[in-house]
Amino acid sequence: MTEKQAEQTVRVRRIRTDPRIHWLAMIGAIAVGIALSTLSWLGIVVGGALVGLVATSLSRAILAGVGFGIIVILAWGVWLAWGGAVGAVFGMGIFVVIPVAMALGAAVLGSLVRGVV
Amino acid sequence: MEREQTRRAVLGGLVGAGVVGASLSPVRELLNQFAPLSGTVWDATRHDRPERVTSPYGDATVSYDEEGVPHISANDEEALSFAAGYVQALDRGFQMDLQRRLFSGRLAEVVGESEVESDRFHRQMMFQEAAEATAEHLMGTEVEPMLSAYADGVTAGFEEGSLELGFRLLDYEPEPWTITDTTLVEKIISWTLTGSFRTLRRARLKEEFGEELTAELYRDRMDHEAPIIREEYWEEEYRLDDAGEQFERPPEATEPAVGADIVDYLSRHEPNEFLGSNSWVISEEYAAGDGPLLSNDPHLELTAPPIWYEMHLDGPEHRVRGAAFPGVPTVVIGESDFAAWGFTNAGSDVIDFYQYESDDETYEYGDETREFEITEQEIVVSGGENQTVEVKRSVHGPVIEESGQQVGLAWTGHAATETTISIYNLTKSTSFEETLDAVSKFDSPTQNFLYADRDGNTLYYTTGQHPIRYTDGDPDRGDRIFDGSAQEGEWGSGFGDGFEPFTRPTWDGFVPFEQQPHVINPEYLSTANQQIIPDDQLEYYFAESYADGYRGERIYDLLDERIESEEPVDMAFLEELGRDTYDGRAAELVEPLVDAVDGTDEEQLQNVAEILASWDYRMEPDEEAPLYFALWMAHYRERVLGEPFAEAGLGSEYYPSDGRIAALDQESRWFGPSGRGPVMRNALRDAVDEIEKAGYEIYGDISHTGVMTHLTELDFLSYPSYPRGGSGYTVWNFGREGPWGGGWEMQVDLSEDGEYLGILAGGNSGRYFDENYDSQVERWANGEYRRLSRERPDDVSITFEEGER
Repeated sequence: MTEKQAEQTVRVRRIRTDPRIHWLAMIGAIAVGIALSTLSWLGIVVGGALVGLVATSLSRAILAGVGFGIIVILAWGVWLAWGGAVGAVFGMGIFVVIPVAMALGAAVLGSLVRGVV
Repeated sequence: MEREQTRRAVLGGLVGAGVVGASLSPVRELLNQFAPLSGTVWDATRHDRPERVTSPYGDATVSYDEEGVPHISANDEEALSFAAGYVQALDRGFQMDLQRRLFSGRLAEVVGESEVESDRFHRQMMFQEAAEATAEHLMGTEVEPMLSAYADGVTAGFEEGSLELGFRLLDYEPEPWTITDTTLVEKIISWTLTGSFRTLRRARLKEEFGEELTAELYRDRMDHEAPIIREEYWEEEYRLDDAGEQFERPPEATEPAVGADIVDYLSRHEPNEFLGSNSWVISEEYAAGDGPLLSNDPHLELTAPPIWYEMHLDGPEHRVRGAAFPGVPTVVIGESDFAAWGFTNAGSDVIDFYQYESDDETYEYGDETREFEITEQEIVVSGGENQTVEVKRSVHGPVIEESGQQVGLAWTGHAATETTISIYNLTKSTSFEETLDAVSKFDSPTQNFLYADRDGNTLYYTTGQHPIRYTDGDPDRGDRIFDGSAQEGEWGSGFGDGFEPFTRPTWDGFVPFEQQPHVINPEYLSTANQQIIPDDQLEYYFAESYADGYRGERIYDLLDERIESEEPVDMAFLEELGRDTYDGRAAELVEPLVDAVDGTDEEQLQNVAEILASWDYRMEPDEEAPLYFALWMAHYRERVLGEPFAEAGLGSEYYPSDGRIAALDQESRWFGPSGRGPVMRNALRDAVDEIEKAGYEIYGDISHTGVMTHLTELDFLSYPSYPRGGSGYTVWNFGREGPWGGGWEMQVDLSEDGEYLGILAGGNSGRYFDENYDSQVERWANGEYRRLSRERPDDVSITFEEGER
């Protein structure tokens, strides 16, 4: 391991272990993830990956991925409610299950990146 | 360490495979459509109409009222039409596009393989070619500028408005709108109202059951007909100078056989035979106000969104408010500053069928051997392999093929027609004479036109071109399959002469307009698709059959009673008449049913019989008796016809109307050896079982608006369920088994400041997320009317400004 790599490892570890930095990083990851999710479904995967990378372990990363998926669904719900369409959308049966499953699945998929790096 | 590396590799592979797999497979489309926050489908929840639109045709304004009805105003007809097209595209774009795809045989292109047969049928029927011929004929006429501006308006609406949910679910964008698309709508309506394969179905039944049994089921005329034109109006005018005597079917007439497969195929695509409508007009003399009264409720299929679109046009030459078909720029049924009018289906026979001596490429026609005109067309199939269909035509019109069997057909709707000119002139008419002139141009479909104006005139006229058939130079009926090669059943002065499909006919030898059934200034008159006038009052064959006369008879009974009471007819009475739920089938059948149950030892059936015996035959949603009757009728139909029809391989599309079943003699062989009583009893047992099993309590449990579904058949797009009274045979009409009914219900008082009432079966918007998608359903189910304003709302929703696009 080079000196530079060692320094990076220390930084990442601080992000994961220092509570204050950890939560700031998590909020940042969520914000970036949500912003990207408004552009493409890939944004949910990236968001899931970001919150996963901040987590201390793979299992926590997966939990964070689920959490991010739920936040995406809530954000979507707020956006729908803002347009007065939340009731109508939730009357759409299977068509509501699809995006909910997508949000959770894509976010968890992204969070698995924590196990790679 | 090695284990850790393996774990990383697996997880990395999983993430990579997940992302790459989703990106490269069809799942990507699904993700692009439905992903929360970015999915294209969810953009449909936002329907912000553009506030300013550039129109190359001039300034206009659109003010939407609280019901989503656009009030469109302009000082130029073309600017008005552009704006009308624009708002229709915003409000009903998906419905318009799906309709044109269905009838031009291009539905599989966006829906997939399930629609290939439908596409094949619609291509073979050549509706698109008929629309093209009509559009071409209208070029250079007074309506061309209006149609052109309208088409541009629709296209602009498609481009600038937020696409509807349907487009997003099927993941496609509409192509530009054309004048042909508008004339196709005319063909769609004409086909819905006059496209009948009854002649073929009857021939198929005759082959299975013989002449006598078929005649019992497919009765041409009912005993209880209360004709539209009653005796006091029978006039010499309906007699043709040169058309000989009343045509009886010659006993020696033989019909060429038609294969079972092709009749089954065609019957699957046949418009609902039981669609009907009501209208009535009351002259000033009997009206409570100082002007005549007019009512119309067309009973077409009930769908979400409705077939009708309400709009209010305020142009330089006219003001008109009422119901239009999405896809056409003019109000079809409604009221102008001068008059009000409506239509019901006339039921006349304007379609004939022909068999040929032929091979694959040629057919005999008189002394000649002619070539079929054949084109190969490709049906594009979404997600599947494209298909080829052979579209074939003869001198008569399209030749339909199925399973190696073929039949040619001639239909007036295949001609280039001027109905668009007629309707346009009707909306602008400012005199009785102009109205008559407009109605004379109404080529197709054949309709009962009913009218009243502010000068106090009333009018009934049968519209549409009506062929007189000739075989060997003699007038003939049109209710049998003709030998086309022997030139039987020639229309007017002959095919290729008086009538040539896909061109503008001369209509030479057709029933002249002046000799079509009509009544000028009737005191009061009603139409409900029943027989127009007794056959012996017409010297030409007019209709193979008419609708059961229940509604027609009931309306005249109630109107006669009111007129005889000398109490003036007012809107309150007309509302009551329009909401009448008395079912003539019940009046005919309940008594014999109760008798059939009498004497049995089944207590349950006795109890039901008791409920039915004390019933007033009104199909009220909160009552028990109509529930028993409606389900008994359905089971009775099955008990009588189900088994023999199934054995003959015939589906329910071959069933006759309930009126025909009710009219069967109690000794009819259709009831089998035990006779009618046991069949009635068994059907009641079936009904009671079904009611118990399903837990139904009142009629509203089965008769409700939830059966009104969307074109896509997606459940969530269906209308919410509200109990609805009436049946398919009552004045207040609701055929739950279709469903069909009064999609637009209208009553107009032409007195000064008289009321204008209307209600739409659904909502004016086709957008699921719009509050007006289903805003009128509950009121419609409750029998309420809306009071329609003749004024525009103050707030402008869309401003059209002149400019280049």
